[in-house]
Amino acid sequence: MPDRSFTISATRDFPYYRKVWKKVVAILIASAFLPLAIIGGGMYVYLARTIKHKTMEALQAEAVSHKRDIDSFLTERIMDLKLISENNGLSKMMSPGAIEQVLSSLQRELPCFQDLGVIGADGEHLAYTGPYDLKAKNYRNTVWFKAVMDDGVSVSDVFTGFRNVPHFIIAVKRNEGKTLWILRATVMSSLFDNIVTQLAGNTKADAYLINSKGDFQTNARKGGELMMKSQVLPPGRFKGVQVEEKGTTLTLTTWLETVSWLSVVSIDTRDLFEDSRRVRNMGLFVILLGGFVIILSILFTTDSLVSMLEEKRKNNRRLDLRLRRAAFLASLMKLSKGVFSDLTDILSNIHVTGTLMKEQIGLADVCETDLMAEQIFSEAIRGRNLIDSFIRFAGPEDPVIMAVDIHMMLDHIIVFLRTALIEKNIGVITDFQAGFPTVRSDGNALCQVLLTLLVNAASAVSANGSIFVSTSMKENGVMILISDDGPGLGKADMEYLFEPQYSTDRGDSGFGLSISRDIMERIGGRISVRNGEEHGAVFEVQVPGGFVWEYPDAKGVIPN
Amino acid sequence: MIGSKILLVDDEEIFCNNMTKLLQNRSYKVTAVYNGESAIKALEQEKYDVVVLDLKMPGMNGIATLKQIKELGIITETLLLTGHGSIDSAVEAIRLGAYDFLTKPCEIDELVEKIEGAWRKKDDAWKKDMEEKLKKVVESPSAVFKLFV
Repeated sequence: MPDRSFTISATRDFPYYRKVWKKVVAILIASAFLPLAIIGGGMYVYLARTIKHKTMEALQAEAVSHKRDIDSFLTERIMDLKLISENNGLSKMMSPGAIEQVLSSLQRELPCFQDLGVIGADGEHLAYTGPYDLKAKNYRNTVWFKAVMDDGVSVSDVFTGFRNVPHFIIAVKRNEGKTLWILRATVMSSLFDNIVTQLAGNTKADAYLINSKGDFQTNARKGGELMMKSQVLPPGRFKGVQVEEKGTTLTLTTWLETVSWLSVVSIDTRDLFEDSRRVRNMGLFVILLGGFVIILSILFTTDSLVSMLEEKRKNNRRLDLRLRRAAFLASLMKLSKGVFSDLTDILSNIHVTGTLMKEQIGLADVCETDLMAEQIFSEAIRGRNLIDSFIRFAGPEDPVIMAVDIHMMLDHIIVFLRTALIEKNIGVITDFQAGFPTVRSDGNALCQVLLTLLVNAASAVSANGSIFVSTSMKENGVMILISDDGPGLGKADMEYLFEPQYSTDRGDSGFGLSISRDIMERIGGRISVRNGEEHGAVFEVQVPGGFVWEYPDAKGVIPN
Repeated sequence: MIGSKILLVDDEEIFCNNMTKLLQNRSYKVTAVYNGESAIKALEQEKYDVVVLDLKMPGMNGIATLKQIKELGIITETLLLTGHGSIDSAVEAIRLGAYDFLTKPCEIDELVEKIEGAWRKKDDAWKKDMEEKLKKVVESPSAVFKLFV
């Protein structure tokens, strides 16, 4: 039986098919994993690229949106100051309490405005409201003052100035006839920071502003403080969004419209592509798990197949040995047949010589020579029977035709079974027809059939039971009836009794009756069974008078 | 039938000679030859009632000899002697027209019984043949000249 227990394939003993095992495993693994790798890898690359492309598009859109929001914020603040300056006029703004009221209303709208000042064309404060005492300050030489005087509007870079706190200035110029004045508001960087950060929708992104010199105009989340030099070197002005990937950092930059500040959005690509990485890891896990299952299946299947091959090979080897043995025996028997044929001739010579001697010896010596002649005959006959038995053993398919005295054969079998019959005190009642002829048949085979039936009958009957044996002559041969007073046969027994391996409690091994049926068919006879009228089973054996042979191209009867 | 002519063919000289004597003791006219070729020559020269033929002989074996005998077209019956009663030799012999076969060594009485049976069959065949010839003579007297041709 093949070894069904599962052990590691590489350590199992496949002495003849190890190479086949390796080849099959390699081919199966390659054919399973190559498409998997190509399809899986291709899909992963395609998906990763698509995800990256879409993400970049979304990020660019976000950077543009961020820039627009900041621009809008600053534009709105400039508009606020313009509206105030235009609506109120210089005289009103300088009237007591007016500027405080305007600042208050501005702060209500947006708390980022810290103070408000009205400055004359000479840079002196005409009016001021705020937490600092800046009325005496002159801004004539400041950058933002010059810018607003030149351009009418100015948004300064972040600086600390007189107050020593980071802030930036939004200033608008107003011409009232010949009078020129400037409305200036201070935006606190800390508050502006919050606005810029809030505008950046992606919470994982770092959004900040730098001026054209590269100084931070807002705080950056990761190592960038206000007014410090940033690592980003502002390029010349450009339109749209510039994308730069350095290491794991992706940076998107775009220039603001209202002020010469660069809006920077930087994000860690590890955070950005976390989802796609998760998908990739999950895919890899599925592939590895699937691969593991595939490898296990391949090993298990290949193991089973190769084990079967090994087992088959062993069986073939055993069969081969048997065939060789059979071939040897056959050749031996072929040789033996020639030898026995010569021996038969020798015995025949002895026999005929003995017969002649017996006939020609004088009366005086008759007693002694008769004895000697009888010994010669009996030895010659014994030798012939021995040769017949041996040849029959060597070629059981070749029947040996002989004149069979069925009564004598039955008597011999009954004597042979005597011990078994005595044990159960079984009586054998015979009813042999007088004048019964001898039949020419395969005596040994017929003897085997009758012996099987009588042994089975002896097994079937209980203690003190009886077996009945009768013979009768029929038109083309003879019939032998063997019956018993046992329990008889069931319906299934009757149907399958002569099938190979079907055994009953009558003592048949499962082959005896099957072989008997084959023998009877081979010698042209028939065997059948029925239940007795009262009890027991009745076997009918019909033996043809002359030996009947069955050949593909010939059919006939050897005359008796 | 006393006086029947028997042709005994066997390569075993001892068997042949002793069996010849046994059969002669029973008033048979026996001629013994030791091979198939001699048997055919003997049959061409003389008529025999029964041929007792050994199956196993060197050169022309019993079956080949039987075929030749049948080709001669003479009225005779053939009994085969075999070393052991194997079905193939029996079937072949019967198919070729042998009367019967016996396994060696055989009892002289058994052989005589078979020879008698073969002789009766041969006699029947001879009578039938003669009747047909006589019928032809009656129908056409000129045919008498062809009777013994």
